Amino acid sequence: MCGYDNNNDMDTDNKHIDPVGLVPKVLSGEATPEEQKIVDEWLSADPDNRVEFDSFARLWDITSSATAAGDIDVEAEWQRLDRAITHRQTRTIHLKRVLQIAAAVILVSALTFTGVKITGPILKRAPANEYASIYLPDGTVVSLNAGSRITYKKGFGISHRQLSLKGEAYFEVKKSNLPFVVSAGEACISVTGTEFNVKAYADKPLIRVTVTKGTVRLYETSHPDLEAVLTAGETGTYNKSNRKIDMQAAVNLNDFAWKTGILDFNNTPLSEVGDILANTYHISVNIDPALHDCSITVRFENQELDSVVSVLKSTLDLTVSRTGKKYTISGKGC
Amino acid sequence: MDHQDLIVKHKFELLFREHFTGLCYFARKYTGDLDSAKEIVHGVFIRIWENRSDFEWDKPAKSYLFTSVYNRSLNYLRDHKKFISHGEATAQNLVVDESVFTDNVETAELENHIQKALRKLPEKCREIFELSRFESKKYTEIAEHLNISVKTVETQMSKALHLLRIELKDYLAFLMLMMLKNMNNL
Repeated sequence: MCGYDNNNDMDTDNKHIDPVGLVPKVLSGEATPEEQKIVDEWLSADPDNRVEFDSFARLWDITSSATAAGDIDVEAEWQRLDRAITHRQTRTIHLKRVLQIAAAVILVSALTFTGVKITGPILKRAPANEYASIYLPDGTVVSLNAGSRITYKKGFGISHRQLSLKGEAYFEVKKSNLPFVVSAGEACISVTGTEFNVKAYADKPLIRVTVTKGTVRLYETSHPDLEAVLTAGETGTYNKSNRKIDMQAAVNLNDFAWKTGILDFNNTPLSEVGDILANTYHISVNIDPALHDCSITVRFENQELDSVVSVLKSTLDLTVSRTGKKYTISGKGC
Repeated sequence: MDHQDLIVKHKFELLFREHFTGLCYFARKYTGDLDSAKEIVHGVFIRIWENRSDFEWDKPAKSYLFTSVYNRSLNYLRDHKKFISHGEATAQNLVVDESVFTDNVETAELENHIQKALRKLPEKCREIFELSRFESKKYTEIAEHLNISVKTVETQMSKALHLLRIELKDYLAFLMLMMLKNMNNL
């Protein structure tokens, strides 16, 4: 088909005005009689010009059919779908839970009918042996480690952004004017928009917060004055027994291993390796105390537990026995 | 989620991102409005997700997607007992006229490309073009609204049309073919 250059063939009487430039005016009905005439002359000068004009006219027509479309925000639609399928997943996995919820709904309806107002918290949990991604109504993404759970009240993202965490989660917090507050038992974490990991297992003496982006405030739930401000690349720990907050200007990659699949041991004592493996692969690890101080330096990326174990075994000359999800490690010592 | 699940999720997301817009424009040809069209398309994707273990992820899915959206659109029309003025067809002749299906797939994809092409225009150029084309504003009104000269509006309109034509070259050629085909059928 002919190109724009064809306007060299234009009627010489009107060489000061580009007829092709007038096409939109003609199409939108805004051309003056003079301008219309220029275009008409151009059209009759060469059949190719007619073809070119037609292609513009066609373009003009089809752009009108696209009009009413408006933009479709594919990103937003994807987020919406992703939320929908995430809900569905938890629904199908926890059929028992659905029945419980159904029972609760009946109870709530009954209570509502009798005039009792109920605004129960919303609970999201990860299955026992794998982590789950959860999309909060404000656009925040939470990766929940296996067996961990979060709860929040109605109106999340609208009137508040407060949730409570049991276990471990990585948060990618959407920026907003509403402060985002994670209550993790004895300690709370408050942020605006940032990314961080919170380890808050009820049976562990420390609550550990690792910041990868932005700034977070870590404070004691009962005494918010006891606080520490952590920025990206820092780790803060709240010690439940002596109620102290410690800060380290470093981030341990292994804190995210459960999410990233990267294990990075650098002269790491075996006792710690055991904890990290347990947290990453959702197993329990028992290590002979005589081996606790043996250390190892090795890096794994997305390795199966079996291959990690076999590397450890041959490097430190260990004996590993396994019953189901329980691993027992023994050896001669180092 | 284990590794395999993540791969499936990723493929699912790619499929969605590639086809969502086109499928919505397609469904709108039957439903007449974009909101119900979006719901229909979401429904199809949710169904795919629910049956993800049986879905053949490595086969081309386009015709499956359009057929599913088509069937759901017909159900939607049946349930809403609605005759549409916007689309090219009504509930009755849709069922009998399968060729409309193909045409609608093609034009829906074309609309998708137009929207993409519009998004590629320089911002000022696009704004002027949309004011004229979609809000039926006169050149003088646009000039006043944006505090620019009428001459600039003219130049930008012409620029917009030329850029769009370059962007949509292949589809225009295809459209011309379709028109010729239709004329021969008359």
